[in-house]
Amino acid sequence: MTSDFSLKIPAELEAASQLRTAQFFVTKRPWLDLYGVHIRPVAPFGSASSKPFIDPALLHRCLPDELLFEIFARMTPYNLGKAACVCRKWRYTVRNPVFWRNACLKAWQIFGVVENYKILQSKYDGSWRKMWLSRPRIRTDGLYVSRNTYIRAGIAEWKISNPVHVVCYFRYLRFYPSGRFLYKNSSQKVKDVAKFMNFRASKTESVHSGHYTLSNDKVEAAFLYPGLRPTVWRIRLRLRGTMAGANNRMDLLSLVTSGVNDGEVSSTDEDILGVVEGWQEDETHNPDVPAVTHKRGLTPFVFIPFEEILLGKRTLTFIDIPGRNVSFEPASGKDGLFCTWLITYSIFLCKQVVSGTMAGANNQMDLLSLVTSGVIDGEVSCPCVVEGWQEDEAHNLDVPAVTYKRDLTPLVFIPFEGV
Amino acid sequence: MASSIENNNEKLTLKSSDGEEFLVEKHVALQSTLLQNMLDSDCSSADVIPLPKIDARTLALVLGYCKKHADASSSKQGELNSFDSEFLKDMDMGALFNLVLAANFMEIKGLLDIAAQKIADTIKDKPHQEVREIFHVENDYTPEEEAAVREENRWAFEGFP
Repeated sequence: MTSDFSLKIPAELEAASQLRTAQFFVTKRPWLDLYGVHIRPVAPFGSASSKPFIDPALLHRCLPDELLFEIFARMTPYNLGKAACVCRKWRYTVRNPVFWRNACLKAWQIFGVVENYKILQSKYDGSWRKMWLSRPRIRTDGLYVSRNTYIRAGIAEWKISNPVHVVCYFRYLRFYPSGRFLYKNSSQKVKDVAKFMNFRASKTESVHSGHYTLSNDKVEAAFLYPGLRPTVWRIRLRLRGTMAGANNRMDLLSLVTSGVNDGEVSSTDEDILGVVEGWQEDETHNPDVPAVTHKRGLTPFVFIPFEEILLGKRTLTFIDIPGRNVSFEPASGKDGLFCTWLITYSIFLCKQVVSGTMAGANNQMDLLSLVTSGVIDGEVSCPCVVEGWQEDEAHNLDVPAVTYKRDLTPLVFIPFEGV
Repeated sequence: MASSIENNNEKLTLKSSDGEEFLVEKHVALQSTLLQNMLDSDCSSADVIPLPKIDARTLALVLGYCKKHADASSSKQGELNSFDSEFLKDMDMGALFNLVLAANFMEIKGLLDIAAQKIADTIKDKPHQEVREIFHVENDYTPEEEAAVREENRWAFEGFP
């Protein structure tokens, strides 16, 4: 509305800033209070004493501490964490326990306020911020996604390569602070699914809703597949993070479907979790629907915040690698073996060194590196194209190089006769 | 000097820090808890109420907000919401800061909420350097300290450069 606004600096303050003596600022100046100007008599956190004692920042000069508080009170904990990195004063303000208390009471609201206060005292020395960072917490500001693939043989052609199809599907979980959750199993990508992962989703989207519980880092969740043979879907997960306080991964501990009888279902439409509480994994209450413990598609869940999905950021690119035509072709290198798979436009590079448990055995391979990175269309025809590439090199900006840090156990050779 | 009372429509005069006077209807002024308390305790039955913290430009904005909210009946919440978002649109940071200060001083909860939220939304998702530029904040961390603070808050940065 008013773009030609210019900041007015009180004349007293202007005059004061010319003075060198720190003593001046220690004295209370009521007329400055009148303008909402707070002068800090001491430089915060031991910054060089030769610096002027007035905080030169516009915001700090204009906004007293309590208003900086009002602004921070309207930010998410994640944005507070980022704001702390701006300057010392912001970091100090962000430390205010009120922000973290509100965040904690919201994040763990299914426990109730009283219980949360008890946990605060018994486990986190009364520090809400410590609780926020250390206590396993289900994130509700995005989707947990598990990308699963299986391989299906394709039709062999006259080429040497054997085409196979990598079929890719995703499990999507969205949790709400209230104790409810949504689940969808789909081959659609994150971006498309995020739109209708809510309680307004129509039946045709087949988004299932149920309740979950959190106990330490263990999550249990269940929902009911309605129908002629009502089936309960139960999942057990374990929360963890790639760094402290991130809570951005969930390991899938077990996934079970089993039958319930009609009487159990009709009474409680929503709280199916209570019905199956204490059930054995192989327990079913309907002989027509045996309990099934699912052994496939149990990849850990990765958390993606909504804002990343909406902005189309692709930080977790491996989630988005399309699973389609894969051809397998071995190629040999100089001082080791290279195996390359072409996953359309994305290359999988695995570097190994042959060693043996005794001289001449050559029965082990240490996994030196395992990388996927993007290639451009023209390069795809030749599997040796990545020779000499850096580990973090990628030729397709949409598919950045990913160096895998997990599951790098050495490979052990097993002769066919042993099999 | 004294504000004249016309019909039943009482009016008050508010005076900004730079001396401009605003004649407002009482029900508009009542949007401010500060003025409400002053009127209740009858300490300003006389003439002009001085508002030494608020300049004329800001006070005009504040009174515009109060008038809209006082006149609209509670049933028009949707209309008020769209007014609120339109109200702050394209407003520069200096004006926003003044609004927050004024709303805080005059105790106008709704205005404080939307103005502070608008500033909060400006901060979020911006790289630090940009935030510092917008707010004219000086980076007073040493490089080592900054690295340490970033490490301490790394959980908040997932997915950001």
